[in-house]
Amino acid sequence: MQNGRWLGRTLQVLVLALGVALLAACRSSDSQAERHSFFALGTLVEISVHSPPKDIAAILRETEALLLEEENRWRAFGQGELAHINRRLSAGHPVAFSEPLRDGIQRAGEISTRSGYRFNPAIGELVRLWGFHEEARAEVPPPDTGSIAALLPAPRLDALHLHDDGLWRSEDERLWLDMGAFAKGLAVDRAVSFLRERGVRNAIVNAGGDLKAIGRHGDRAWRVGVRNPRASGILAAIEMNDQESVFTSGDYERQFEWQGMRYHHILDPATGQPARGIVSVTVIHRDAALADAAATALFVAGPGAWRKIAGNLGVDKAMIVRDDGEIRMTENMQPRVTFENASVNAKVQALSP
Amino acid sequence: MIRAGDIAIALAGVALIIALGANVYSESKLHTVHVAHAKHVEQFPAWQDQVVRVAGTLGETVIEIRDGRVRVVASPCVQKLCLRAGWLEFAGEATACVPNKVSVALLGADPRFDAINF
Repeated sequence: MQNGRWLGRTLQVLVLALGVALLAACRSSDSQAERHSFFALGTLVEISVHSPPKDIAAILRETEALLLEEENRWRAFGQGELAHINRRLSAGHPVAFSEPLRDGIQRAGEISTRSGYRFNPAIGELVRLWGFHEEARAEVPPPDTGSIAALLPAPRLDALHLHDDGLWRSEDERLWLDMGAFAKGLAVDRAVSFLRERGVRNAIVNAGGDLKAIGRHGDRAWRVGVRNPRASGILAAIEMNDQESVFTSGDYERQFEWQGMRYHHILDPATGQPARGIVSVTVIHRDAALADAAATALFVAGPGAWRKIAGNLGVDKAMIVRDDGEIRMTENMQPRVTFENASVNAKVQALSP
Repeated sequence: MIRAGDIAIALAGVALIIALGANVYSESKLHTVHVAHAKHVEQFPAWQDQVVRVAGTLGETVIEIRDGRVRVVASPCVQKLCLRAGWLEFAGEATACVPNKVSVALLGADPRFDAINF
């Protein structure tokens, strides 16, 4: 009797162990997302699709063409529609904007004003002076203070005026439109709208680390890892809601070192210098174009003013990493992020200081 | 005194650990490195240490695969953003040398993250 009872218990335990092992094994049989990657918008674009419609290959090819069209439209230097307009405005000529350009620039202008001009898409000349407009910046020193001062106070989009002849003129010849902190978001929004129109219900469009999600990955949410700005690995995880975007601006992207000093590409329009005090800003918002511009605006605003600017822009989910390593985030951001390291020192702050 | 039930529980624990270990091993085995260049995509197993050299539009990009991770170790581009990305450790991570048109991604059957934000 006694032996029989123990045999029964042994079998129970073994069956339980086998069940747990099988459950664990199920993780690797989870259905996968299809991935499609290509170069567009000056970066690597990856589109992951779960439960794709039958004609997904054609849809993805069209999405790629759409994003290449956006890249060509918004390129500020070299060849392209905006680059051509910039040259004409700079030479004092009137210009006509195509409808997509006009709509985008007007929206960028509204965001710029609400950000207190921390996001300023009219400072292309400053970007060029620093050499950040080129994929391959030459090994040269940072610009001298006199050259920077000549471009200050920085021109604003307010300098563009529509005249009775239907053409736009610039009253500031230093104005050079550079939509680098906005056009990627606009393009991602457009790609996501296109995918939804074509019946894609579950996808992530990831343009060089800035992304927007549609639907879910099967029976779970899409999972995004936010890279640590100062160390290898992941800082935090975010589970995405439908049609939500996550954009991060960091000082580690385009940068160079000169005589031991690091200079990054996020310029403060007030000083003409790389903005200091923050190393990365992460914004969650349904509007990818706004998330893109807001990440830059909050970065420029710095540790003292980022909450005020977030409030002005209608951004309620934002997280900053300060240059002293401290992390701050809004109340609505807190439940959305799970830090990889439980000892991370992150404080929650109200939106308006 | 050791009873038959204690032995059974111990055996079950060992069986569970072995089963979970085998599962983790099979997951890491499923990780592959995708290298895209000049419209070609090549795949390499992430568990096999090796150095991969691919031709891009500017020149040669050198990629190191070690201990299930992958990184770019040499590139003809100037800014070296692809090198600065460091090791890609999680399935779903990717980096690219945009000027040289070479991309590197670590993919897995059930990645911890579907995309990396930076």
